[in-house]
Amino acid sequence: MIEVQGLTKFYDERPAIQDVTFSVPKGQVLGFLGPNGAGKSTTMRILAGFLGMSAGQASVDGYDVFSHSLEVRRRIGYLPETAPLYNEMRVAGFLDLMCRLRGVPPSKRRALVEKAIDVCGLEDRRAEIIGRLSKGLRQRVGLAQAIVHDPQVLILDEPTAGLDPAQTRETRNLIKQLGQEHTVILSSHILPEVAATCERVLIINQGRLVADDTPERLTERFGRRHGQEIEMLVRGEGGADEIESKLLAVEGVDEVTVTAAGDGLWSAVVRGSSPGLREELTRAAVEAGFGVREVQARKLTLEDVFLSLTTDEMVEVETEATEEE
Amino acid sequence: MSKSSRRRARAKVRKQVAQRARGVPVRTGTLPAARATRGPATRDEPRARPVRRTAPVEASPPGVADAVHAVVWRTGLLNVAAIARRELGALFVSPVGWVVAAIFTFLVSGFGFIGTVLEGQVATMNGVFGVITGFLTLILVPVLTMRLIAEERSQGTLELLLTSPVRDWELAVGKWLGAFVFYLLLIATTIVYVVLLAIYVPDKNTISLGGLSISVGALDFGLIAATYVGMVVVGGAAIAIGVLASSLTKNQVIAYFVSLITLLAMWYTAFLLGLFTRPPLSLFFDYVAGYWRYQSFSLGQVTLRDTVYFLTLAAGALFLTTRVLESRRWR
Repeated sequence: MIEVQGLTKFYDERPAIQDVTFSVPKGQVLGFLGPNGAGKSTTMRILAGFLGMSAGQASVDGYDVFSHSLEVRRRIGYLPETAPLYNEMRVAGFLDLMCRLRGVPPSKRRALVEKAIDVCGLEDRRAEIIGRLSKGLRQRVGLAQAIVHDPQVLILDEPTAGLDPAQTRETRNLIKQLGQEHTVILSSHILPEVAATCERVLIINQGRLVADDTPERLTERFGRRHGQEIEMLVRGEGGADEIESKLLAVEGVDEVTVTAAGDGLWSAVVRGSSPGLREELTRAAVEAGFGVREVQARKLTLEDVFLSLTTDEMVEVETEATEEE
Repeated sequence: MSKSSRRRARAKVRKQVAQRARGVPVRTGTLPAARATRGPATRDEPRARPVRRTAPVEASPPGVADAVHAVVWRTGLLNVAAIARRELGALFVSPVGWVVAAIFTFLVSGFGFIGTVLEGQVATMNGVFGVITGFLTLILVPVLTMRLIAEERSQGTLELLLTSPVRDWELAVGKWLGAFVFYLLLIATTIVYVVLLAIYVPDKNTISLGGLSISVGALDFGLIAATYVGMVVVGGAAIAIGVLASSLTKNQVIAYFVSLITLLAMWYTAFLLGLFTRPPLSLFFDYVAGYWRYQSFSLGQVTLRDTVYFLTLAAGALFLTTRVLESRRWR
């Protein structure tokens, strides 16, 4: 549905995005993840036909976003970053205007406006003046205008920015629901959001794509490369040094950090890479006469992946690893 | 009564019946719009998520209107109309439109009518037209136009418009049309004075001068009509220049001064330069100056030359606006 090939955009001399390539099949919900200023909004603006690109190509439903901009714009619904709206208009009137501008035939207009109002939970706000709405409601009106003409592709730039937790959850569910019929690209710098709503994640940093995979596989891939972390809570008479030496003796262990957890307990964080590490560690600890209270693999969250991918040194690790492969 | 409004009315009655059954007092005197849009007293309570209705309003079957719409929409005129309508609406709900209208009405009645006609005892529209050309098209039109695109830029709503299937020229023309209709409404109010003059000034005055009677035609409607045509085309050009100025910046104040200065230069500076220069150059300035051209309208001449001048100015400014809007994709 969406094809992006070598997309590059310079603002004056500064590159906003460089050589971004990806494609989104029909019906997929794609998350665009990156810190502020990474180039998420720029990419989305180019896809929505608002900006031109410096190099590369992008197409939506087979239409080039530059040369067939109008065709592309007929097929998309776009929510810009801060949900800009006409403050003096009323909610329903505004949605009606957006329907008109997108060429919805008159017989369908009312039904579509009502549907968007309903889906976005704006039933009792439809006659309110947009300028008087709270941030969360504005965001919902923004979402409503993006979906009001029932577009094939939704491009949502930070759809949950400024919402409270309950609204965020609602919006996520809404996006999931929309993802069943539409192709959705959404951007965010909040990880759980992307993990919760998207089937696929693109991580972008400093204008370049650094990862492209499902949330689960990203976590897994990263874990495999960087080994795993196991947290143990043990009781031992010999103190930190003994625990450390005994655990280090286990095969496959690279690093052990022991800290006092109070009450005669010690917390040991073990980094290692062998597959059955937890079992080995437990056996070693029991043989050494320690009391084992807890053994837990610390799960790498997308947050860890993200943090390491978007800090420069780890990106180097990533490229080295790719070169070795 | 249309089909859909009948359906709405039925739904309203059903709702009221249901509310009565639940013991909710129904105020029957409220406006239908307010009744239909707000549930009783739920506004400030924490809103329980209502059960989603699957198909709230069914689409009425596509009819002739849709077929016509499909054809007309391709031309872009519907977008122009939609944008113009919003613009006009914005002028009426914001203070800007009312302030401009108030200042204009005050000046027209004060200087244009009371000053010239009542005090000066001359049955003429020249005072009114003087206010329109000297003040409305020069100083007030930039107030109307300064926000047109600059505000969209600063609020980010431009992004909303230009990612909808709206061509750049449709936006430029729609913005222009919205302000232009408001301008037409403003100058239409001055027709009151034409009516007043027509009523109170006798058709023919016969003055006797030493046995010789001269009849004087008091009101020249042809002249007045020509001047109105002039005001319309001058206003159209001034608004187009304002739209162009507004498209260049995010800042409304800058947009105001850019259009004010451009209009001053077009209308008067060239005219003044024409007075102080010698023929080859002064011919050029005379040609460019808008001043001479709308002067000729107020002499009762609707010449093709002058009309074309203002229309070209308007079209040129709107064309440049389109280019400015387009430039975002090339930068």
